[in-house]
Amino acid sequence: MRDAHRTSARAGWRLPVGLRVGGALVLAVIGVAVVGLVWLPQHPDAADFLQRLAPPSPQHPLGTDHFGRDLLARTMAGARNALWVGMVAVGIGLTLGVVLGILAGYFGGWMDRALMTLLEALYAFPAVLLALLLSAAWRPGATSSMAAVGLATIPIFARLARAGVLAARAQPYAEAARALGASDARVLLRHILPNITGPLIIQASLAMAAAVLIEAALSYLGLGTQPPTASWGRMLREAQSFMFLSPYPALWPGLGIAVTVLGFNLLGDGLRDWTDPRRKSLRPAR
Amino acid sequence: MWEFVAQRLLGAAVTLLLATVLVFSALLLVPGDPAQAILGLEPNPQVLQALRRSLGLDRPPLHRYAEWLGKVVRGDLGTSIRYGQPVHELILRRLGLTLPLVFMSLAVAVALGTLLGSIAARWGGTRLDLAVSGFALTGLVLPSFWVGLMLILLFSVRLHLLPSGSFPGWEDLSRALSHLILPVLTLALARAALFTRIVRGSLLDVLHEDYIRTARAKGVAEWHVVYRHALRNAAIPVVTVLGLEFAQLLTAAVVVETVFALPGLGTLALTGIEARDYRLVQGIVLVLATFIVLLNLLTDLLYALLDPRVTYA
Repeated sequence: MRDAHRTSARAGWRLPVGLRVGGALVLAVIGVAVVGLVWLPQHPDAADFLQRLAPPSPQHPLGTDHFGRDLLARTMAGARNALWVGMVAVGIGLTLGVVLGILAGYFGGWMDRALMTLLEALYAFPAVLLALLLSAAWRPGATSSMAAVGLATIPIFARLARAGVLAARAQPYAEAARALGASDARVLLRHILPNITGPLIIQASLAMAAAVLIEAALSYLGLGTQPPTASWGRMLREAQSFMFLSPYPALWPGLGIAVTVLGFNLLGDGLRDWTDPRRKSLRPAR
Repeated sequence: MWEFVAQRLLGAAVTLLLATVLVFSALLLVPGDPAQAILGLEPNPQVLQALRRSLGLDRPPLHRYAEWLGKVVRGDLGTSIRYGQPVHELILRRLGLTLPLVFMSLAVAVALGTLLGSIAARWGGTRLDLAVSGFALTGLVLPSFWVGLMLILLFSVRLHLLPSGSFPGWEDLSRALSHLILPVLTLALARAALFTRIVRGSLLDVLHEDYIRTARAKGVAEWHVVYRHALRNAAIPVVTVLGLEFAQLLTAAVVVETVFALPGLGTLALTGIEARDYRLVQGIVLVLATFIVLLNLLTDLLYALLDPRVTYA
Protein backbone atom coordinates (compact mmCIF):
# COMPACT_ATOMS: atom_id res chain seq x y z
CA MET A 1 0.00 0.00 0.00
CA ARG A 2 2.72 2.34 1.06
CA ASP A 3 4.91 1.30 -1.83
CA ALA A 4 2.13 1.76 -4.33
CA HIS A 5 1.62 5.25 -3.00
CA ARG A 6 5.29 6.07 -3.33
CA THR A 7 5.47 4.78 -6.89
CA SER A 8 2.48 6.75 -8.03
CA ALA A 9 3.86 9.89 -6.40
CA ARG A 10 7.17 9.44 -8.16
CA ALA A 11 5.45 8.82 -11.48
CA GLY A 12 3.49 12.01 -10.90
CA TRP A 13 6.65 14.02 -10.49
CA ARG A 14 7.93 12.80 -13.81
CA LEU A 15 5.16 14.68 -15.64
CA PRO A 16 6.43 17.83 -17.35
CA VAL A 17 6.05 21.10 -15.46
CA GLY A 18 3.65 22.61 -17.98
CA LEU A 19 1.35 19.64 -17.78
CA ARG A 20 1.30 19.71 -13.98
CA VAL A 21 0.72 23.47 -13.79
CA GLY A 22 -1.93 23.34 -16.51
CA GLY A 23 -3.70 20.45 -14.87
CA ALA A 24 -3.65 22.20 -11.50
CA LEU A 25 -5.05 25.45 -12.94
CA VAL A 26 -7.80 23.62 -14.82
CA LEU A 27 -8.70 21.64 -11.72
CA ALA A 28 -8.76 24.87 -9.68
CA VAL A 29 -11.14 26.56 -12.11
CA ILE A 30 -13.35 23.47 -12.28
CA GLY A 31 -13.27 23.34 -8.48
CA VAL A 32 -14.38 26.96 -8.19
CA ALA A 33 -17.15 26.36 -10.71
CA VAL A 34 -18.37 23.20 -8.97
CA VAL A 35 -18.32 24.88 -5.55
CA GLY A 36 -20.22 27.74 -7.17
CA LEU A 37 -22.95 25.31 -8.18
CA VAL A 38 -23.79 24.48 -4.58
CA TRP A 39 -22.48 27.43 -2.62
CA LEU A 40 -21.82 31.08 -3.36
CA PRO A 41 -20.94 33.62 -0.63
CA GLN A 42 -23.91 35.70 -1.75
CA HIS A 43 -26.39 35.75 -4.59
CA PRO A 44 -24.37 37.00 -7.55
CA ASP A 45 -27.11 39.47 -8.49
CA ALA A 46 -27.79 40.79 -4.96
CA ALA A 47 -27.04 44.53 -4.97
CA ASP A 48 -25.72 46.29 -1.89
CA PHE A 49 -26.21 49.93 -2.87
CA LEU A 50 -24.48 51.24 0.22
CA GLN A 51 -21.25 49.53 -0.80
CA ARG A 52 -20.73 50.26 -4.44
CA LEU A 53 -17.27 49.84 -5.98
CA ALA A 54 -15.95 48.91 -2.55
CA PRO A 55 -12.42 47.56 -2.16
CA PRO A 56 -11.94 44.06 -0.67
CA SER A 57 -13.29 43.74 2.88
CA PRO A 58 -14.24 40.86 5.19
CA GLN A 59 -17.83 41.22 4.01
CA HIS A 60 -16.88 41.27 0.32
CA PRO A 61 -13.48 39.50 0.02
CA LEU A 62 -12.90 40.67 -3.57
CA GLY A 63 -14.80 43.98 -3.35
CA THR A 64 -18.01 44.99 -5.09
CA ASP A 65 -19.03 46.29 -8.51
CA HIS A 66 -20.95 49.45 -9.47
CA PHE A 67 -24.22 47.98 -8.22
CA GLY A 68 -22.62 46.83 -4.99
CA ARG A 69 -22.77 43.20 -6.16
CA ASP A 70 -20.26 40.88 -4.51
CA LEU A 71 -17.32 40.32 -6.86
CA LEU A 72 -16.36 36.96 -5.33
CA ALA A 73 -19.83 35.57 -5.97
CA ARG A 74 -19.89 37.02 -9.48
CA THR A 75 -16.41 35.80 -10.37
CA MET A 76 -17.31 32.31 -9.13
CA ALA A 77 -20.55 32.35 -11.10
CA GLY A 78 -18.50 33.57 -14.07
CA ALA A 79 -16.24 30.51 -13.84
CA ARG A 80 -19.30 28.30 -14.04
CA ASN A 81 -20.58 30.19 -17.05
CA ALA A 82 -17.21 30.16 -18.84
CA LEU A 83 -16.74 26.41 -18.43
CA TRP A 84 -20.32 25.65 -19.41
CA VAL A 85 -20.24 27.80 -22.54
CA GLY A 86 -16.80 26.48 -23.46
CA MET A 87 -17.84 22.87 -22.99
CA VAL A 88 -20.97 23.20 -25.09
CA ALA A 89 -19.07 25.03 -27.85
CA VAL A 90 -16.21 22.54 -27.92
CA GLY A 91 -18.75 19.70 -27.71
CA ILE A 92 -20.48 20.99 -30.85
CA GLY A 93 -17.19 21.43 -32.69
CA LEU A 94 -15.80 18.09 -31.55
CA THR A 95 -18.90 16.04 -32.36
CA LEU A 96 -19.64 17.54 -35.75
CA GLY A 97 -15.97 17.83 -36.65
CA VAL A 98 -15.18 14.23 -35.80
CA VAL A 99 -18.23 12.90 -37.63
CA LEU A 100 -17.43 14.91 -40.77
CA GLY A 101 -13.72 14.14 -40.57
CA ILE A 102 -14.30 10.42 -40.19
CA LEU A 103 -16.78 10.34 -43.05
CA ALA A 104 -14.32 12.21 -45.28
CA GLY A 105 -11.33 10.12 -44.28
CA TYR A 106 -12.96 6.71 -44.26
CA PHE A 107 -15.02 6.91 -47.41
CA GLY A 108 -12.72 9.22 -49.38
CA GLY A 109 -13.51 10.01 -53.00
CA TRP A 110 -16.17 12.57 -53.80
CA MET A 111 -17.42 12.68 -50.22
CA ASP A 112 -13.96 13.58 -49.00
CA ARG A 113 -13.61 16.32 -51.60
CA ALA A 114 -17.08 17.76 -50.96
CA LEU A 115 -16.73 17.80 -47.18
CA MET A 116 -13.24 19.29 -47.26
CA THR A 117 -14.37 22.04 -49.64
CA LEU A 118 -17.24 22.82 -47.29
CA LEU A 119 -14.91 22.96 -44.30
CA GLU A 120 -12.51 25.14 -46.23
CA ALA A 121 -15.33 27.64 -46.70
CA LEU A 122 -16.22 27.47 -43.01
CA TYR A 123 -12.58 28.21 -42.26
CA ALA A 124 -13.07 31.68 -43.75
CA PHE A 125 -15.47 32.48 -40.91
CA PRO A 126 -13.75 32.90 -37.56
CA ALA A 127 -16.02 32.61 -34.52
CA VAL A 128 -16.49 36.35 -34.18
CA LEU A 129 -17.76 36.64 -37.77
CA LEU A 130 -20.18 33.76 -37.25
CA ALA A 131 -21.34 35.36 -34.01
CA LEU A 132 -21.98 38.67 -35.80
CA LEU A 133 -23.94 36.84 -38.48
CA LEU A 134 -26.00 34.76 -36.04
CA SER A 135 -26.64 37.75 -33.79
CA ALA A 136 -27.89 39.84 -36.69
CA ALA A 137 -30.03 37.11 -38.19
CA TRP A 138 -31.32 35.61 -35.00
CA ARG A 139 -30.45 37.39 -31.79
CA PRO A 140 -27.38 37.99 -29.62
CA GLY A 141 -27.03 35.66 -26.66
CA ALA A 142 -25.28 32.69 -25.13
CA THR A 143 -26.89 30.28 -27.61
CA SER A 144 -25.70 32.25 -30.63
CA SER A 145 -22.20 32.62 -29.26
CA MET A 146 -21.91 28.94 -28.32
CA ALA A 147 -23.12 27.95 -31.76
CA ALA A 148 -20.70 30.38 -33.41
CA VAL A 149 -17.68 29.18 -31.45
CA GLY A 150 -18.72 25.56 -31.97
CA LEU A 151 -19.17 25.94 -35.73
CA ALA A 152 -15.85 27.75 -36.06
CA THR A 153 -14.10 24.88 -34.27
CA ILE A 154 -15.46 22.17 -36.60
CA PRO A 155 -12.73 22.41 -39.29
CA ILE A 156 -9.88 21.84 -36.82
CA PHE A 157 -11.42 18.68 -35.38
CA ALA A 158 -12.51 17.48 -38.79
CA ARG A 159 -8.99 17.77 -40.21
CA LEU A 160 -7.53 16.03 -37.21
CA ALA A 161 -10.05 13.18 -37.37
CA ARG A 162 -9.63 12.83 -41.12
CA ALA A 163 -5.85 12.64 -40.86
CA GLY A 164 -6.16 10.10 -38.05
CA VAL A 165 -8.56 7.95 -40.02
CA LEU A 166 -6.37 8.05 -43.13
CA ALA A 167 -3.41 6.92 -41.06
CA ALA A 168 -5.38 4.27 -39.16
CA ARG A 169 -7.16 2.93 -42.24
CA ALA A 170 -3.84 1.93 -43.77
CA GLN A 171 -2.87 -0.05 -40.65
CA PRO A 172 -3.00 -3.84 -40.79
CA TYR A 173 -5.48 -4.06 -37.88
CA ALA A 174 -8.11 -2.08 -39.77
CA GLU A 175 -7.60 -4.21 -42.85
CA ALA A 176 -7.72 -7.38 -40.77
CA ALA A 177 -10.99 -6.30 -39.16
CA ARG A 178 -12.48 -5.64 -42.57
CA ALA A 179 -11.19 -8.96 -43.89
CA LEU A 180 -12.96 -10.67 -41.01
CA GLY A 181 -16.20 -9.21 -42.29
CA ALA A 182 -16.64 -6.29 -39.88
CA SER A 183 -18.98 -3.58 -41.10
CA ASP A 184 -17.79 -0.01 -41.85
CA ALA A 185 -19.44 1.25 -38.68
CA ARG A 186 -17.75 -1.40 -36.57
CA VAL A 187 -14.32 -0.78 -38.03
CA LEU A 188 -14.77 2.94 -37.44
CA LEU A 189 -16.11 2.78 -33.92
CA ARG A 190 -14.15 -0.15 -32.52
CA HIS A 191 -10.87 0.00 -34.37
CA ILE A 192 -10.24 3.49 -35.69
CA LEU A 193 -11.91 5.90 -33.27
CA PRO A 194 -9.99 4.66 -30.19
CA ASN A 195 -6.75 5.31 -32.05
CA ILE A 196 -7.46 8.97 -32.74
CA THR A 197 -8.84 9.93 -29.32
CA GLY A 198 -5.43 11.06 -28.01
CA PRO A 199 -4.92 13.91 -30.50
CA LEU A 200 -8.61 14.80 -30.18
CA ILE A 201 -8.38 15.19 -26.40
CA ILE A 202 -5.31 17.39 -26.77
CA GLN A 203 -7.06 19.50 -29.38
CA ALA A 204 -10.18 19.69 -27.21
CA SER A 205 -8.11 21.18 -24.39
CA LEU A 206 -6.62 23.81 -26.72
CA ALA A 207 -10.04 24.49 -28.24
CA MET A 208 -11.45 24.95 -24.75
CA ALA A 209 -8.87 27.68 -24.09
CA ALA A 210 -9.79 29.40 -27.33
CA ALA A 211 -13.52 29.02 -26.66
CA VAL A 212 -13.29 30.62 -23.22
CA LEU A 213 -11.29 33.51 -24.67
CA ILE A 214 -13.68 34.06 -27.59
CA GLU A 215 -16.79 33.73 -25.47
CA ALA A 216 -15.42 36.36 -23.10
CA ALA A 217 -14.77 38.65 -26.07
CA LEU A 218 -18.28 38.07 -27.42
CA SER A 219 -19.85 38.73 -24.02
CA TYR A 220 -17.74 41.87 -23.78
CA LEU A 221 -19.19 42.97 -27.13
CA GLY A 222 -22.70 42.23 -25.90
CA LEU A 223 -23.09 39.29 -28.30
CA GLY A 224 -22.63 36.52 -25.74
CA THR A 225 -24.09 35.82 -22.33
CA GLN A 226 -26.70 38.43 -21.53
CA PRO A 227 -27.19 40.24 -18.20
CA PRO A 228 -27.93 39.62 -15.43
CA THR A 229 -26.11 36.27 -15.80
CA ALA A 230 -22.58 36.79 -14.53
CA SER A 231 -19.98 36.22 -17.24
CA TRP A 232 -16.39 37.38 -17.17
CA GLY A 233 -16.60 39.19 -20.51
CA ARG A 234 -19.78 41.00 -19.51
CA MET A 235 -18.28 41.93 -16.12
CA LEU A 236 -15.32 43.52 -17.90
CA ARG A 237 -17.61 45.52 -20.16
CA GLU A 238 -19.49 46.88 -17.19
CA ALA A 239 -16.26 47.50 -15.28
CA GLN A 240 -14.83 49.60 -18.11
CA SER A 241 -16.90 52.69 -17.28
CA PHE A 242 -15.90 52.56 -13.62
CA MET A 243 -12.30 51.50 -14.11
CA PHE A 244 -11.06 54.90 -13.01
CA LEU A 245 -12.91 54.65 -9.70
CA SER A 246 -12.07 51.06 -8.77
CA PRO A 247 -9.81 48.54 -10.52
CA TYR A 248 -11.31 45.48 -8.78
CA PRO A 249 -14.36 44.91 -11.01
CA ALA A 250 -11.99 44.69 -14.01
CA LEU A 251 -9.24 42.80 -12.21
CA TRP A 252 -10.94 39.55 -11.12
CA PRO A 253 -12.76 38.60 -14.34
CA GLY A 254 -9.57 39.38 -16.30
CA LEU A 255 -7.61 37.15 -13.96
CA GLY A 256 -10.26 34.44 -14.21
CA ILE A 257 -10.08 34.41 -18.01
CA ALA A 258 -6.27 34.41 -18.00
CA VAL A 259 -6.03 31.54 -15.50
CA THR A 260 -8.59 29.42 -17.33
CA VAL A 261 -7.08 30.01 -20.76
CA LEU A 262 -3.54 29.48 -19.47
CA GLY A 263 -4.61 26.26 -17.74
CA PHE A 264 -6.23 24.68 -20.80
CA ASN A 265 -3.37 25.84 -23.06
CA LEU A 266 -0.70 24.38 -20.81
CA LEU A 267 -2.71 21.20 -20.38
CA GLY A 268 -3.12 20.75 -24.14
CA ASP A 269 0.50 21.64 -24.95
CA GLY A 270 1.77 19.51 -22.08
CA LEU A 271 -0.26 16.48 -23.16
CA ARG A 272 1.01 16.85 -26.71
CA ASP A 273 4.65 17.10 -25.67
CA TRP A 274 4.25 14.29 -23.21
CA THR A 275 2.69 11.91 -25.72
CA ASP A 276 4.94 12.90 -28.63
CA PRO A 277 8.19 10.94 -28.43
CA ARG A 278 9.81 13.00 -31.19
CA ARG A 279 9.95 16.16 -29.12
CA LYS A 280 13.01 16.05 -26.95
CA SER A 281 15.34 18.73 -25.67
CA LEU A 282 14.64 22.28 -26.75
CA ARG A 283 18.25 23.31 -26.38
CA PRO A 284 19.99 24.06 -29.66
CA ALA A 285 22.78 21.68 -30.61
CA ARG A 286 26.25 22.99 -30.15
CA MET B 1 3.73 25.83 -60.88
CA TRP B 2 0.97 27.33 -63.05
CA GLU B 3 -1.13 24.29 -62.44
CA PHE B 4 -0.79 24.89 -58.71
CA VAL B 5 -1.73 28.56 -59.09
CA ALA B 6 -4.76 27.70 -61.20
CA GLN B 7 -5.81 25.05 -58.71
CA ARG B 8 -5.55 27.46 -55.78
CA LEU B 9 -7.45 30.18 -57.67
CA LEU B 10 -10.25 27.75 -58.46
CA GLY B 11 -10.30 26.59 -54.84
CA ALA B 12 -10.56 30.17 -53.58
CA ALA B 13 -13.39 30.88 -56.02
CA VAL B 14 -15.35 27.86 -54.78
CA THR B 15 -14.71 28.88 -51.17
CA LEU B 16 -15.98 32.38 -51.87
CA LEU B 17 -19.10 31.03 -53.53
CA LEU B 18 -19.81 28.80 -50.53
CA ALA B 19 -19.18 31.79 -48.26
CA THR B 20 -21.93 33.74 -50.03
CA VAL B 21 -24.27 30.76 -49.60
CA LEU B 22 -23.51 30.70 -45.88
CA VAL B 23 -23.97 34.44 -45.43
CA PHE B 24 -27.19 34.39 -47.40
CA SER B 25 -28.68 31.35 -45.70
CA ALA B 26 -28.06 32.85 -42.26
CA LEU B 27 -30.85 35.25 -43.18
CA LEU B 28 -33.28 32.37 -43.36
CA LEU B 29 -32.81 32.23 -39.57
CA VAL B 30 -34.37 35.66 -39.12
CA PRO B 31 -37.48 35.04 -37.02
CA GLY B 32 -40.49 35.73 -39.19
CA ASP B 33 -38.73 37.36 -42.08
CA PRO B 34 -36.62 40.45 -42.77
CA ALA B 35 -39.70 42.52 -43.55
CA GLN B 36 -41.07 41.81 -40.10
CA ALA B 37 -37.69 42.54 -38.58
CA ILE B 38 -37.69 45.93 -40.29
CA LEU B 39 -41.23 46.87 -39.33
CA GLY B 40 -41.04 45.57 -35.77
CA LEU B 41 -43.86 44.08 -33.73
CA GLU B 42 -47.40 43.92 -35.06
CA PRO B 43 -46.96 45.66 -38.39
CA ASN B 44 -49.86 46.73 -40.59
CA PRO B 45 -50.53 43.63 -42.76
CA GLN B 46 -50.83 45.65 -45.96
CA VAL B 47 -47.58 47.50 -45.35
CA LEU B 48 -45.94 44.18 -44.51
CA GLN B 49 -47.16 42.63 -47.77
CA ALA B 50 -45.95 45.62 -49.76
CA LEU B 51 -42.54 45.57 -48.11
CA ARG B 52 -42.26 41.83 -48.67
CA ARG B 53 -42.94 42.34 -52.35
CA SER B 54 -40.50 45.22 -52.67
CA LEU B 55 -37.83 43.16 -50.88
CA GLY B 56 -38.63 40.24 -53.14
CA LEU B 57 -39.50 38.00 -50.19
CA ASP B 58 -42.51 36.58 -52.03
CA ARG B 59 -40.17 34.64 -54.29
CA PRO B 60 -38.38 31.36 -53.49
CA PRO B 61 -35.03 31.57 -51.61
CA LEU B 62 -32.99 30.17 -54.48
CA HIS B 63 -34.29 32.86 -56.80
CA ARG B 64 -33.54 35.53 -54.20
CA TYR B 65 -30.05 34.14 -53.68
CA ALA B 66 -29.27 34.27 -57.40
CA GLU B 67 -30.48 37.84 -57.62
CA TRP B 68 -28.58 38.86 -54.47
CA LEU B 69 -25.40 37.18 -55.71
CA GLY B 70 -25.69 39.00 -59.03
CA LYS B 71 -25.73 42.30 -57.17
CA VAL B 72 -22.94 41.31 -54.78
CA VAL B 73 -20.66 40.40 -57.67
CA ARG B 74 -21.18 43.91 -59.02
CA GLY B 75 -20.29 45.35 -55.58
CA ASP B 76 -23.86 46.22 -54.62
CA LEU B 77 -24.53 45.01 -51.07
CA GLY B 78 -27.93 46.66 -50.77
CA THR B 79 -29.01 49.62 -48.68
CA SER B 80 -28.49 49.87 -44.96
CA ILE B 81 -31.73 49.92 -43.00
CA ARG B 82 -30.20 51.97 -40.20
CA TYR B 83 -28.28 54.54 -42.24
CA GLY B 84 -30.31 54.57 -45.48
CA GLN B 85 -27.04 54.54 -47.43
CA PRO B 86 -25.53 51.90 -49.71
CA VAL B 87 -23.84 49.27 -47.54
CA HIS B 88 -20.71 49.13 -49.69
CA GLU B 89 -20.13 52.89 -49.21
CA LEU B 90 -20.41 52.56 -45.43
CA ILE B 91 -18.03 49.62 -45.46
CA LEU B 92 -15.48 51.35 -47.68
CA ARG B 93 -15.40 54.37 -45.39
CA ARG B 94 -14.84 52.24 -42.27
CA LEU B 95 -12.25 50.04 -43.99
CA GLY B 96 -10.13 53.19 -44.17
CA LEU B 97 -9.57 52.75 -40.46
CA THR B 98 -9.82 49.00 -39.91
CA LEU B 99 -7.36 47.95 -42.62
CA PRO B 100 -4.55 50.32 -41.55
CA LEU B 101 -5.14 49.24 -37.96
CA VAL B 102 -4.86 45.56 -38.87
CA PHE B 103 -1.84 45.94 -41.14
CA MET B 104 0.05 48.09 -38.64
CA SER B 105 -0.66 45.54 -35.95
CA LEU B 106 0.48 42.70 -38.19
CA ALA B 107 3.73 44.54 -38.97
CA VAL B 108 4.41 45.27 -35.30
CA ALA B 109 3.56 41.69 -34.34
CA VAL B 110 5.85 40.15 -36.98
CA ALA B 111 8.73 42.49 -36.10
CA LEU B 112 8.38 41.98 -32.37
CA GLY B 113 7.83 38.24 -32.69
CA THR B 114 10.84 37.73 -34.96
CA LEU B 115 13.07 39.74 -32.65
CA LEU B 116 11.95 38.04 -29.45
CA GLY B 117 11.75 34.60 -31.01
CA SER B 118 15.27 34.78 -32.40
CA ILE B 119 16.59 36.05 -29.07
CA ALA B 120 14.90 33.16 -27.27
CA ALA B 121 16.24 30.59 -29.75
CA ARG B 122 19.75 32.04 -29.85
CA TRP B 123 19.98 31.75 -26.08
CA GLY B 124 17.75 28.67 -25.93
CA GLY B 125 17.37 27.04 -22.52
CA THR B 126 18.71 30.05 -20.63
CA ARG B 127 16.81 32.37 -18.29
CA LEU B 128 16.44 34.86 -21.14
CA ASP B 129 14.66 32.18 -23.18
CA LEU B 130 12.43 31.42 -20.21
CA ALA B 131 11.57 35.10 -19.78
CA VAL B 132 10.72 35.56 -23.46
CA SER B 133 8.71 32.33 -23.56
CA GLY B 134 6.91 33.43 -20.42
CA PHE B 135 6.02 36.73 -22.05
CA ALA B 136 4.79 34.87 -25.13
CA LEU B 137 2.54 32.65 -23.06
CA THR B 138 1.16 35.62 -21.14
CA GLY B 139 0.41 37.45 -24.37
CA LEU B 140 -1.53 34.44 -25.65
CA VAL B 141 -3.75 33.92 -22.65
CA LEU B 142 -4.72 37.50 -21.83
CA PRO B 143 -7.91 38.62 -23.52
CA SER B 144 -7.17 41.51 -25.92
CA PHE B 145 -9.92 43.71 -24.51
CA TRP B 146 -8.52 43.33 -21.00
CA VAL B 147 -5.05 44.27 -22.22
CA GLY B 148 -6.61 47.28 -23.94
CA LEU B 149 -8.34 48.36 -20.74
CA MET B 150 -5.13 48.04 -18.77
CA LEU B 151 -3.19 50.04 -21.38
CA ILE B 152 -5.84 52.78 -21.16
CA LEU B 153 -5.61 52.70 -17.39
CA LEU B 154 -1.82 53.02 -17.50
CA PHE B 155 -1.07 55.34 -20.43
CA SER B 156 -4.21 57.48 -20.50
CA VAL B 157 -5.55 57.64 -16.99
CA ARG B 158 -2.38 57.45 -14.91
CA LEU B 159 0.33 58.85 -17.17
CA HIS B 160 -1.81 61.10 -19.44
CA LEU B 161 0.48 60.18 -22.33
CA LEU B 162 -1.90 58.89 -24.97
CA PRO B 163 -5.59 59.32 -25.83
CA SER B 164 -7.87 56.62 -24.44
CA GLY B 165 -9.97 56.24 -27.55
CA SER B 166 -11.96 57.72 -30.46
CA PHE B 167 -10.45 58.65 -33.78
CA PRO B 168 -9.97 62.18 -35.14
CA GLY B 169 -9.60 61.18 -38.82
CA TRP B 170 -6.58 61.00 -41.09
CA GLU B 171 -6.31 64.75 -41.84
CA ASP B 172 -3.83 65.28 -39.03
CA LEU B 173 -1.56 62.29 -39.44
CA SER B 174 0.46 62.54 -36.23
CA ARG B 175 -2.69 63.05 -34.19
CA ALA B 176 -4.34 60.10 -35.93
CA LEU B 177 -1.34 57.89 -35.22
CA SER B 178 -1.27 58.90 -31.56
CA HIS B 179 -4.84 57.63 -31.33
CA LEU B 180 -3.81 54.34 -32.91
CA ILE B 181 -0.75 53.52 -30.78
CA LEU B 182 -2.65 51.83 -27.97
CA PRO B 183 -5.08 49.93 -30.24
CA VAL B 184 -2.18 48.69 -32.40
CA LEU B 185 -0.24 47.61 -29.31
CA THR B 186 -3.28 45.82 -27.93
CA LEU B 187 -3.90 43.98 -31.19
CA ALA B 188 -0.24 43.22 -31.83
CA LEU B 189 0.52 41.78 -28.41
CA ALA B 190 -1.29 38.46 -28.73
CA ARG B 191 -0.11 37.96 -32.32
CA ALA B 192 3.47 38.90 -31.39
CA ALA B 193 3.30 36.26 -28.68
CA LEU B 194 2.31 33.66 -31.23
CA PHE B 195 4.99 34.72 -33.72
CA THR B 196 7.58 34.60 -30.95
CA ARG B 197 6.66 30.98 -30.27
CA ILE B 198 6.67 30.05 -33.95
CA VAL B 199 9.98 31.78 -34.71
CA ARG B 200 11.58 30.30 -31.61
CA GLY B 201 10.34 26.82 -32.39
CA SER B 202 11.30 26.82 -36.04
CA LEU B 203 14.68 28.44 -35.34
CA LEU B 204 15.43 25.75 -32.79
CA ASP B 205 14.53 23.13 -35.38
CA VAL B 206 16.67 24.77 -38.05
CA LEU B 207 19.64 25.26 -35.72
CA HIS B 208 19.92 21.47 -35.58
CA GLU B 209 20.43 21.20 -39.35
CA ASP B 210 23.71 20.20 -40.92
CA TYR B 211 24.23 23.40 -42.87
CA ILE B 212 24.17 25.35 -39.62
CA ARG B 213 26.83 23.09 -38.18
CA THR B 214 28.83 23.64 -41.37
CA ALA B 215 28.49 27.40 -41.04
CA ARG B 216 29.60 27.26 -37.42
CA ALA B 217 32.51 24.99 -38.34
CA LYS B 218 33.60 27.52 -40.91
CA GLY B 219 33.84 30.01 -38.07
CA VAL B 220 30.86 32.18 -39.02
CA ALA B 221 29.88 34.52 -36.18
CA GLU B 222 26.92 33.29 -34.13
CA TRP B 223 24.63 36.24 -34.87
CA HIS B 224 25.41 35.77 -38.56
CA VAL B 225 24.49 32.11 -38.28
CA VAL B 226 21.18 32.96 -36.62
CA TYR B 227 20.16 35.92 -38.75
CA ARG B 228 21.59 35.07 -42.18
CA HIS B 229 21.53 31.29 -42.31
CA ALA B 230 18.86 30.10 -39.95
CA LEU B 231 16.21 32.81 -39.82
CA ARG B 232 15.75 32.73 -43.58
CA ASN B 233 14.54 29.16 -43.45
CA ALA B 234 12.86 29.56 -40.12
CA ALA B 235 10.74 32.31 -41.69
CA ILE B 236 8.75 29.83 -43.74
CA PRO B 237 6.41 28.76 -40.90
CA VAL B 238 5.81 32.45 -40.17
CA VAL B 239 4.72 33.05 -43.76
CA THR B 240 2.41 30.07 -43.68
CA VAL B 241 0.47 31.43 -40.73
CA LEU B 242 0.31 35.04 -42.01
CA GLY B 243 -3.05 34.50 -43.68
CA LEU B 244 -4.46 32.85 -40.59
CA GLU B 245 -3.06 35.61 -38.40
CA PHE B 246 -4.62 38.24 -40.62
CA ALA B 247 -7.98 36.59 -40.06
CA GLN B 248 -7.37 36.58 -36.32
CA LEU B 249 -6.43 40.25 -36.37
CA LEU B 250 -9.50 41.22 -38.40
CA THR B 251 -11.82 39.65 -35.87
CA ALA B 252 -9.80 40.84 -32.89
CA ALA B 253 -10.08 44.33 -34.37
CA VAL B 254 -13.86 44.11 -33.90
CA VAL B 255 -13.25 43.80 -30.17
CA VAL B 256 -10.40 46.31 -29.90
CA GLU B 257 -12.30 48.92 -31.90
CA THR B 258 -15.01 48.67 -29.27
CA VAL B 259 -12.53 49.07 -26.40
CA PHE B 260 -11.07 52.23 -27.94
CA ALA B 261 -14.34 53.49 -29.47
CA LEU B 262 -12.81 53.54 -32.96
CA PRO B 263 -15.21 54.00 -35.89
CA GLY B 264 -14.11 50.90 -37.79
CA LEU B 265 -15.89 47.97 -39.43
CA GLY B 266 -16.31 46.13 -36.13
CA THR B 267 -18.12 48.94 -34.37
CA LEU B 268 -20.21 49.41 -37.52
CA ALA B 269 -21.24 45.74 -37.38
CA LEU B 270 -22.22 46.07 -33.72
CA THR B 271 -24.29 49.16 -34.48
CA GLY B 272 -25.91 47.11 -37.23
CA ILE B 273 -26.78 44.32 -34.82
CA GLU B 274 -28.29 46.73 -32.31
CA ALA B 275 -30.39 48.34 -35.04
CA ARG B 276 -31.37 44.92 -36.43
CA ASP B 277 -29.83 46.06 -39.71
CA TYR B 278 -29.18 42.56 -41.05
CA ARG B 279 -28.18 43.81 -44.50
CA LEU B 280 -25.36 45.89 -43.09
CA VAL B 281 -24.06 43.04 -40.93
CA GLN B 282 -24.39 40.61 -43.82
CA GLY B 283 -22.33 42.92 -46.04
CA ILE B 284 -19.63 43.39 -43.40
CA VAL B 285 -19.33 39.67 -42.68
CA LEU B 286 -19.11 38.91 -46.40
CA VAL B 287 -16.41 41.54 -46.95
CA LEU B 288 -14.36 40.28 -44.00
CA ALA B 289 -14.70 36.65 -45.09
CA THR B 290 -13.62 37.65 -48.61
CA PHE B 291 -10.51 39.32 -47.21
CA ILE B 292 -9.70 36.18 -45.26
CA VAL B 293 -10.09 33.91 -48.30
CA LEU B 294 -7.95 36.19 -50.46
CA LEU B 295 -5.24 36.49 -47.83
CA ASN B 296 -5.16 32.72 -47.42
CA LEU B 297 -4.81 32.39 -51.18
CA LEU B 298 -1.96 34.90 -51.18
CA THR B 299 -0.27 33.02 -48.35
CA ASP B 300 -0.45 29.73 -50.24
CA LEU B 301 1.04 31.28 -53.36
CA LEU B 302 3.75 33.05 -51.39
CA TYR B 303 4.59 29.83 -49.60
CA ALA B 304 5.06 27.99 -52.88
CA LEU B 305 7.25 30.81 -54.13
CA LEU B 306 9.41 30.90 -50.99
CA ASP B 307 9.97 27.23 -50.43
CA PRO B 308 11.18 25.44 -53.54
CA ARG B 309 10.61 22.14 -51.79
CA VAL B 310 6.83 22.56 -51.87
CA THR B 311 5.36 20.09 -54.28
CA TYR B 312 2.38 21.38 -56.12
CA ALA B 313 0.23 18.37 -55.53
